[in-house]
Amino acid sequence: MQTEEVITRYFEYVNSGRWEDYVELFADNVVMDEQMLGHLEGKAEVARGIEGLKSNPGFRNYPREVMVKGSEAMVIWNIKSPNSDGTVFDFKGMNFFKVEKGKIVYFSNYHDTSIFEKS
Amino acid sequence: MKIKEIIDRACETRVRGDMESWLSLFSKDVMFVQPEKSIKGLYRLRVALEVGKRQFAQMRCTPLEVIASDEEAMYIEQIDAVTLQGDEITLKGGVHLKVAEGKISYMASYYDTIPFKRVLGKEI
Repeated sequence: MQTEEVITRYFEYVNSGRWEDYVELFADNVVMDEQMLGHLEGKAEVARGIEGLKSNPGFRNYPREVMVKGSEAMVIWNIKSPNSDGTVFDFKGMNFFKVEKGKIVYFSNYHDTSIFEKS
Repeated sequence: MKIKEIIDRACETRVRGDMESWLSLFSKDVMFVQPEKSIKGLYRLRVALEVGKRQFAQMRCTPLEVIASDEEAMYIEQIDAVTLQGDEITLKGGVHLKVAEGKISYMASYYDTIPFKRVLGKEI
């Protein structure tokens, strides 16, 4: 799978709740620097990290701008995440992907976390 | 100026505190987007910069990973700042910028404001 296809599937799986397929996009030895989860190593840690998202079927991550260069990609996204009290977290950020042999080997994201402290 | 040169110049002018040179990289109608506010126009950007001067003794940005075309770029940058009180802040963020006629017409930064708020005690 080429980089652009991996990115397309990443967001497709997130937005359709296909979390097992989502995890399979990552290499076994993936390294992830996730804004909320911190530094993760290995697909198993990624799988544990996204457990919370599975219980939020309304969670959506919309890719807005995408740039791809060879095995690397950056994406500006807009997350809309409904809360149990009816409010919605609506915020934007950026992801950075490195893809090798059709698998994500490195992932990092960058966004403001202050909206979570306000809630 | 090519877009990568613009990125490097934007960071080097900030490092040496040459704000006039930094501002000269932007178009008059630039849209400058931060996590909690958007600034439209070079005049308002200049005003915002004056506020920043009263908070930081040093603000350094270092481009790390860059993906660029002729008129658009996304990059990850290392941010290192020192407040006037000597508090240090270090983090990484994402930047998306667009260039038109050799000037930055759009720049959006994605970073966590919490490290800044904890030190400054207010929104930046």
